[in-house]
Amino acid sequence: MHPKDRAHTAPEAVVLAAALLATAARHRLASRSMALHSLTACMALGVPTGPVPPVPDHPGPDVLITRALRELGELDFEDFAKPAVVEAARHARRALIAVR
Amino acid sequence: MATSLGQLLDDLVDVAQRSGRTPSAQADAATGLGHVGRALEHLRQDGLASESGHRRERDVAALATGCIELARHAPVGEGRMAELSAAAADSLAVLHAHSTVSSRWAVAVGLADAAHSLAAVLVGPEGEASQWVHQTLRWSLVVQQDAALEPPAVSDAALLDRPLPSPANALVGTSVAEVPDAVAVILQATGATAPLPTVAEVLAYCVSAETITSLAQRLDKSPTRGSGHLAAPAWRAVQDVLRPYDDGSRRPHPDAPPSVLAAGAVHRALTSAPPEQLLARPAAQEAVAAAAQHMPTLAVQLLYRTVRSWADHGSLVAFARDLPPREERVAAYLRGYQPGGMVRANAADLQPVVGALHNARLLSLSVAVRVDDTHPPGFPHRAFAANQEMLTRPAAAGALDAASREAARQVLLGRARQTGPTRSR
Repeated sequence: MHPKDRAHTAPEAVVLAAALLATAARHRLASRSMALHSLTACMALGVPTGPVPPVPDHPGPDVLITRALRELGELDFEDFAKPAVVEAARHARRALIAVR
Repeated sequence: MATSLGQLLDDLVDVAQRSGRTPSAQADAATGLGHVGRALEHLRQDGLASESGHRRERDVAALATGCIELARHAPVGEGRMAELSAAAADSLAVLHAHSTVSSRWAVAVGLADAAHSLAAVLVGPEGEASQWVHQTLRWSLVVQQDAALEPPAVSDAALLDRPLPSPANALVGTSVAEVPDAVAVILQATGATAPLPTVAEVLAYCVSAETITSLAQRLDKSPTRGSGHLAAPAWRAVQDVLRPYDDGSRRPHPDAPPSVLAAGAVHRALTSAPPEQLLARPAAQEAVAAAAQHMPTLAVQLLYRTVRSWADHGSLVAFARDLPPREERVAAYLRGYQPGGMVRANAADLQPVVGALHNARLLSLSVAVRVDDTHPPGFPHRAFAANQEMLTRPAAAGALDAASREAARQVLLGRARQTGPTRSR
């Protein structure tokens, strides 16, 4: 994808991904493993997300994590290759296949 | 001790991240990368996307080339990383028959993670191999970026937890430590590449599954009672519905095949003590909880491979009297339990077996997801997550209810049945 086609700039996408991961971590339907990996991914990004408002049941945590991963995956390669982003993406993938 | 591809890759990443950048570690990592490249190349050839030339396949091919070239240009050494990589690459051959396009993608992503950790060990002064180190690091990140856009699903990642038996071990059933290996042998024996199991062998596998599920339901610590207690009767029902069928294997054999010995070892190891005493030991709890995660897979393999092949090949015979009555079998039916009354069982005749295995699969899923959720290292958590995901599908609740009712009916029938002499064959 061309950078101009993206909805968000790199910092915006990372902030959005962090917010989504933080929300997934506090989701009522997130299991302990899923919450732990989501939280680790959020912390790896190093973006303060602030307090998370009450989370509705829909969409589920897996939808939020998938969207966060998509935000990270759509970054330019140079932005994705930063160790913090790679680490966050790994944890988000683990969260997605974690025990419910 | 049985292992799995996921366990090998987790260990490989762990060892690579802990190792220093000494010359011997670098030679070890480079050799390991050669094996990882070989594995990635095989996965690409088998297919990683439904259309050929997909971005995933191009990126994995580039990573495989980088790994192989790096191994060619770096010093050669043999250590823990090389051993783990070689074992992981070789295990793909065993898993080939059970893999799908999407599960191969899940494996490729795991290998890309491992390639990144191994290549990081080789980062150092500029040399002949340094350009390949940077290429490998770059392409492993590209594959990880692809994985962020198209993350592997829970059910696909379960392939990483499929147990692989350790070679040439004698299973005698004296210890619960043998259970993981024995389960791996049974799963392999019912897989697509193994010779078609006989009725006698399937009965042995069902006995071991019954033993495992009856113990696994005791590990359910949740306050609400699920349908897991019906999994063992469901496996017993499979043995009951197989009663009329024969393929010549129901006779004394001079030697039992290794898979039957494995089924016997599971049963002996898990019935060597009363359940309360046995499950008081953490090792036994872990073995039972892990084995229970693979019982749905065993049911699926028996259902879609064994019973389907029996139906397709017409391998089983039965007395027409024991099968649902049909017009074209009147003559055979009237001959009764004489040799002339025997007919070849087709797909319609095997419907009760299909139904019983379907119920056993659903109830095994139910018992597998209710084991205590404190998972020790080595627990097949990806298989556990896949089992959970299977039960959250829309049609699962209704199907599970129906399976529970049928298993409960079987239990009641079993209680009401009079014990006494049966018809001799």
